[in-house]
Amino acid sequence: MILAQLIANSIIIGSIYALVAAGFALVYSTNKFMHFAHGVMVAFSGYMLFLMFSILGVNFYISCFITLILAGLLGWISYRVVYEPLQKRKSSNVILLIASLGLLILLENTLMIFFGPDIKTINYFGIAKGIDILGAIVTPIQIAIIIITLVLLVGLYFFMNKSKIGRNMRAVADNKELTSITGINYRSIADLSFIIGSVLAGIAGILIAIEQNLTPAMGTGLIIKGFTGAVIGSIMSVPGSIIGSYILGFAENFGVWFLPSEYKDAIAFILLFIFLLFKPNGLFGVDKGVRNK
Amino acid sequence: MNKKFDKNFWYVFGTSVGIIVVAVLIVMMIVDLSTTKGLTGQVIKNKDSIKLGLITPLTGDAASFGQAELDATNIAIDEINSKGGVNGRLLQLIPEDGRCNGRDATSAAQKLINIDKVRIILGGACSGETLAIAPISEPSKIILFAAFSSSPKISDAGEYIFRNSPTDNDWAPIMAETLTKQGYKKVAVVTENTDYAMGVRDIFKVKFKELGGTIVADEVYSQGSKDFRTQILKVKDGNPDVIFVNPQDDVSGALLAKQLRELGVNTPFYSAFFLSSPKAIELAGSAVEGATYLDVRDLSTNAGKALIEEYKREKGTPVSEFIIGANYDRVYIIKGALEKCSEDTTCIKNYLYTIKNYEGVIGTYGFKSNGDMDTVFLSMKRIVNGTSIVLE
Amino acid sequence: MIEAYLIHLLILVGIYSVLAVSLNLALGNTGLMNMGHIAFFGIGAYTSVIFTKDLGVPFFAAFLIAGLLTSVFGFILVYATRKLRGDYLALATLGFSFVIYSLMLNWSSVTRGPLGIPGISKPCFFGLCIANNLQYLIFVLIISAISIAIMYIIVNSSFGKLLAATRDDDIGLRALGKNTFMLKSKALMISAFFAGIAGSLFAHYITYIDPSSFMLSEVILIFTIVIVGGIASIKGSIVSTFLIILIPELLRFLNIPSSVLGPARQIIYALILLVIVLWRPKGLFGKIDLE
Repeated sequence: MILAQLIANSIIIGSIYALVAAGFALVYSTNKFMHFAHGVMVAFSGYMLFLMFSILGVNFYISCFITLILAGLLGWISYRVVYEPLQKRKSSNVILLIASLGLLILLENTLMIFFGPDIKTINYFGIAKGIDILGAIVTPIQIAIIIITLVLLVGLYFFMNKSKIGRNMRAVADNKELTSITGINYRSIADLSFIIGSVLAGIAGILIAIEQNLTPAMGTGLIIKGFTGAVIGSIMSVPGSIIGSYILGFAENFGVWFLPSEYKDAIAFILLFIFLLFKPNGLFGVDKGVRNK
Repeated sequence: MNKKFDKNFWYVFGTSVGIIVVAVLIVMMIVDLSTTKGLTGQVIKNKDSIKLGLITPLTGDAASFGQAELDATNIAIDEINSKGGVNGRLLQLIPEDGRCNGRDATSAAQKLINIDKVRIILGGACSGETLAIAPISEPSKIILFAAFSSSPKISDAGEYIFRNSPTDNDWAPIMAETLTKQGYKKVAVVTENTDYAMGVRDIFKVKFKELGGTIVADEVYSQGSKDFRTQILKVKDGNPDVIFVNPQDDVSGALLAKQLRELGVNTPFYSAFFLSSPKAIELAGSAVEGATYLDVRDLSTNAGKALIEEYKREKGTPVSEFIIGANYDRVYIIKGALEKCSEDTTCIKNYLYTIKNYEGVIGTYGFKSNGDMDTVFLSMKRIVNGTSIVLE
Repeated sequence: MIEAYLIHLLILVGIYSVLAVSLNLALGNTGLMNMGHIAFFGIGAYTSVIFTKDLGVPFFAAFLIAGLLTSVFGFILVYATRKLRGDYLALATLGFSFVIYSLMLNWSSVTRGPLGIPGISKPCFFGLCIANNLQYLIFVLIISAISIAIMYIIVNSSFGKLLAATRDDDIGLRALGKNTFMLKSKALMISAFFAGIAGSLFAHYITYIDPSSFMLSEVILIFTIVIVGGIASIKGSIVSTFLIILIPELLRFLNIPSSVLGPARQIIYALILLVIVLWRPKGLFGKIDLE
């Protein structure tokens, strides 16, 4: 009973981390830099849903659809305006990381100016009574989150491995110089990775908005957990980062079961630190000179 | 190298001095502008207005409280000004962002005291702000009047420091006594990891054990976290008679309540303040049905009713009715002091200590010799059918 | 009375310039992408306060202990991350600052957790205590002038040249038989030492500390200072500290609604950072490009 609930808790929160981590890892694997502003894409999407659905009164599903388009657009614009000029100048990935932090703060505070600092909620589904599954109590929204995450996981796996675009993206991820010789257009692949990654962030934003609530600063918290999950799995691989996020979910929840609950965040941070020190490519990554770049 | 060192050193030194001079000039110019043309804060309608400083978090995690403080203070000031101000002088509020931390609060206080020359500072909101401002305001005999800080450390921070909000010491023991009186022996405490809530938790735990109870679970969650399920599971495992939900703000409290009920925990729960927020009830819905909480006097009666309605009309649903009430009262208490003493802060201080039965929105109270409220009115309320009713 | 406000701001500038120059020593002169610098600042602040308040150590001793203990943490960090480069190093050091932050927040028996430590005394020397902010400003200026001068001499010494060489060509230097790890650890230990004493100065000035002064947003603040000033430029870091500390203060004087003011300040930081990174990678006074 307790064990079942602990497992359920881990899977629920792991799914939320995974939704954030997947987009982050997709961008990293194709472009080789940390797109921290990915977190604010999640917050942005939540707020767009709030704007469309709660303020303007647009139909919920149409609102979701528009939100995803806007998320993709914002991701694409941020690539073209901020990251691409830096890449052209052959800036190191550290500079891109700093730029992404700047972008994160910029967008987060813009959200705060427009929507105010207080917490917004989208009560579309109301409060549901939990359903008992094998002794664990889970609400329908949480089941939806888990299912959507798993569907995305499988979908992304097939997209990356079976479709032509996906294979091109993986090829770029493997070796950028070599692929440019074979005629794959790096720019369009990078565009695509940002658009897909941000749409993933959009899905995460919608689900988190419904399950939890919205604050302008939520993106920072989410991306910290998201990239921790990605680092544990492998920042280079989308499926790896999703599995890593679930591992993080399990580690936090089982850890807190035995330790005082204050240490929940500390568990994540220590895991992040340890993985970066001893296994920077994660559990599912291949060692390929990332350390000595 | 020495020659180069010399050259560079003087270059660095010269540039620094130059920048200091330029910065001083710019600041002085702006101050000059602000006093003659009214650039500072709100438009100065009356050159002879009385300036009040306000330090509260306008950005960061606690910004929603700060905004509520600012809004409520503005409502009171607008009322006073529309009726002709204080002794014919208008009140002018200068809000500053304290960001809920010591560094920004001290910068804000230095600016208010030395540039705007305020004699009265309303704030801080977070105890961390108030504790950092106190060593600056106290030696200059500036009145520092907090309406939200609850740290017991503030009680003896200085002579010129007042507050009209209960301290953790005031109500945390009451909570322990109430639970004991109800016959509860095993309590689970769930606390947000912030200064206010952790302070309450420490005092509560000591008192509850003193009264013969046991703490079967003592869980903490970090600020901003939205997933409490494993903490709740540990609460469940402790098998308590009652749960003390101890958040920093309404939203995390409501989310916690929601997840408690979602996970099938039907143990009664007690809390303080946060459930008075309509937002909490809206967010948690049926999850807080039957929950009991300590609160200040019901604001929807008497003078408070008009205030809350006005607030809702102008600013939206308040994050906490208590904050609105305490901030509103604070301005009127200061108004009384200004009428009597003008801006003589020693006189104001002495006057404030003589206040014994002030009829405010949050109750009838005065100040103790340490500047804290002398009466704490807490009433027990319960959520029944989505609205709170007073139990006693 | 305007002087009092300026004195306050100059004290902050003095403290943060030590912090920024010390970060630049690691980041600019040695090429160590250390995002854990704010943790050093925090360790210094807490160490100094705990030693003076709980253990009754005289201020100046606590001040030096703060620097030295932080320096030990500097060595631990550089040792732990010795195999990492580039953004992985940046991330690991960022992770380090998160770990230290959680420690400050949760090790309540020592740090009082989120309650913070109030009532920190102003520094005293042999019974003479600093009584007002002007004296504190003089004290801060003396300490920061000495600190910055020491760091200036270090980066311009032959040791400093070796540091620059590890930044530009680590492998080449190792081929020449130099122990670059030792060089880097010395650099980071020096950098951490000065961050630690800056923390001590900060804590005894503000007189109240809690973990929120050492969070992620502060990491970005000092990074912005260094990058705007320019990589490996002490002068740049000092000038930039003035700009970054004073610009938001100037905003207080403009007639902007307060709900916009706070976010606007953050937006200005972010825009300055992005503008510099995108269009002027040298920063204001940098000798080399950010790469």
